[in-house]
Amino acid sequence: MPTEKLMSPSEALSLVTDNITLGLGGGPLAMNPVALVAALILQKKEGLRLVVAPIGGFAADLLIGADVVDSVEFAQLGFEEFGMAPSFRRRSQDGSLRTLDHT
Amino acid sequence: MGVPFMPVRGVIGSDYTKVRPDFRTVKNPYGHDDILVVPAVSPDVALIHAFRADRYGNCVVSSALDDALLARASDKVIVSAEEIVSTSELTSSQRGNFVSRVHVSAVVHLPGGAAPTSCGTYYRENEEALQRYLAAAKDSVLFSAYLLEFCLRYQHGGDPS
Repeated sequence: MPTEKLMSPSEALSLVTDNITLGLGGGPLAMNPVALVAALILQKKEGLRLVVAPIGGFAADLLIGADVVDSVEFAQLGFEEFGMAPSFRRRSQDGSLRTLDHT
Repeated sequence: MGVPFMPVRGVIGSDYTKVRPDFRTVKNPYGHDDILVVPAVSPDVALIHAFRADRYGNCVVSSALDDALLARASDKVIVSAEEIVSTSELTSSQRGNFVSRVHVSAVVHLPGGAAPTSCGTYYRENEEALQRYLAAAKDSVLFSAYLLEFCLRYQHGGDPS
């Protein structure tokens, strides 16, 4: 039989350690891994380098707003008809977030 | 593909190289001109929400997004899924992109795991929840309390809208 990989959120998220490059699936407001990101924020990680693939939105903004992210690589990061991603905007403007733009 | 970088035309001479000074220019080994090369995106870990998965990591993700590509580009992948089904059910009723278990390290059953963003035919985006987030983000002091409460409420999945 193939290896059993079904586990709890905290067991799965033990793969995420400080200072790694973390990719996020989904679009701006579709298929974001929100529950995994919420559980990850509660674990108080630091120094994550975020990559959205290639367009991000809600889940990326949660992580950026939680101050667990040092940089973000993206082609676009926003909330579509709801406007700009607020934490991404704030931390880009105050210079606390390194942005790696692909557009 | 596993390649470390990709050559890109049409960038040299533009301001793009000022925005991304980490992009390098190299000599074209097959010609006499220069070419810009961009590094591969290779996350250590990726988080992806799937429609359905089996217990072994096989899953079906949105075909409208690049989630299947992200899974193949990443060293490790954690998948959350609306439904856990048998392998035969997964492969026979596929609506989306199939991701093989060889790319997936962990599967977590999290119905509502994409909320308040949308999830295919399961649920639409929750506009009210998104507006609450945007309102909270206007005040940085209130926002940290809001964020903590949000994470406690959504860590096992949100209410499908």
